[in-house]
Amino acid sequence: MSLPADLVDLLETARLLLRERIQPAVPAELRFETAMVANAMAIVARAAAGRLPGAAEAAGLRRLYPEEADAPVEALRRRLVADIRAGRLDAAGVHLVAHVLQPRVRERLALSSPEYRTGL
Amino acid sequence: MSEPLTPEERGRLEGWLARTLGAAAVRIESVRRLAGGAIQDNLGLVVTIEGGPRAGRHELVLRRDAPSTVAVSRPRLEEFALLEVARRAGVPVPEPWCAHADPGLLGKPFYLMARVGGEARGARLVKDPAVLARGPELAAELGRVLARIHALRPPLPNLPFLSAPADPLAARIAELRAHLDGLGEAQPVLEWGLRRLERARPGSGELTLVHGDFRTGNLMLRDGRLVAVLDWEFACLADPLEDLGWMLAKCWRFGAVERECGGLGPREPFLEAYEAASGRRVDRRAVRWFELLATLRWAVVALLQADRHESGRERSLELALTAHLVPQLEADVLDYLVLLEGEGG
Repeated sequence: MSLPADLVDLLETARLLLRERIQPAVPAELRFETAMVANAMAIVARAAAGRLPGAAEAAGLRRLYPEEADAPVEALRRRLVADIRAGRLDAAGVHLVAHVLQPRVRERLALSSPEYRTGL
Repeated sequence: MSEPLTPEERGRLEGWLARTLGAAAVRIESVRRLAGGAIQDNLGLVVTIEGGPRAGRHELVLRRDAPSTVAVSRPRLEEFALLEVARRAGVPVPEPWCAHADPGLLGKPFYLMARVGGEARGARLVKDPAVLARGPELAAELGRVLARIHALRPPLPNLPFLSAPADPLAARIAELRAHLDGLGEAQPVLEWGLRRLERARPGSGELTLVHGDFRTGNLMLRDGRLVAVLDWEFACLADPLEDLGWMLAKCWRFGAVERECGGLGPREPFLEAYEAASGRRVDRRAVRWFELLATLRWAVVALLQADRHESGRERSLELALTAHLVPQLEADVLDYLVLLEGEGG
């Protein structure tokens, strides 16, 4: 689901105006607040452009639980959490990380903070 | 935002302070709300005291519970007791002045402490030339101070409210899972991290006083030197490695990831000074496991903060944006597991 391109552009144009013209002029005590507003707008702009997370994680979950291909993603995620806690996936770490957890993190970072540098 | 103190509260506080401090009179010259803490209601006061042992002009901080509190945060009076114990143990803290349990005076229990000048904000400190100039010395200083806190072992008769968990790591994991259950949304990456931690069972086998939030942001610095350890509201009895992991975790470096001790200095001088001052040998790999625990704990706290906004209890853009930090913490969880166990564990 993505918004029409002209609406995405509207939000992005407003965000750039905020960042380039307004932010430098705001008094020091409101700088943090202004940066938060710009950040929130950037997140929504990415979501509106179609970068909503979920698809890759869902595909991994369906691969992990092929017998439940029609179940809602949240139900599969709940089953996954129950299996993790019960130790039923202790030996399946490589598969779990590669097909479900890494894709989940990549998608969520792409929305929330695409510039984040992973690695320790 | 409303006035921090009503005229009635101000009058009551002046009267109570005069009686408590044995003064002829106390005048509150100014009151302002201090920034800091999504949890706290902190006020900066300038008071003039006439007569008694504290006669003179003083800058104080008044800490009182905010309208919404986090379940894991301690009541103010316990925090006051912790400050007194820490001060006697030689830990630099703001001098605790006096506390009042009766909510009739200011609506909530509160205490007063001396205001310590300096800078605590992480984003500023990681760019402060005085900090950059003495990173290794500062890291060592932090290690020595932490060793003093960890020299406090149970029984601690002045801190009767602290309970001693039989298995501190298991207790922490259970606490984080209970919070996740309360929030409702399934969190597979955090759960995977908790499970690997549960299986690995890292730990020093010791139980000491632990500050619980010892990190950049809660350390008041002046000219690149530590002047006070703040925010004792999460203190508890736990494995001392918890504080080491919290200080070193990637998530508390305020963007200066290459300076592994809180964005302020390098890792090894911190750990070496801690070892020398405490007489303990620190297992470097176990510290990494506790950095993972720190990452998981901060992720859960971030989810709790975001929930305060989403539930409508406390609408705030800052709290709402906290939810968008969680993917970074999830990435860190997987990175720590690769470091500790190789791909996938």
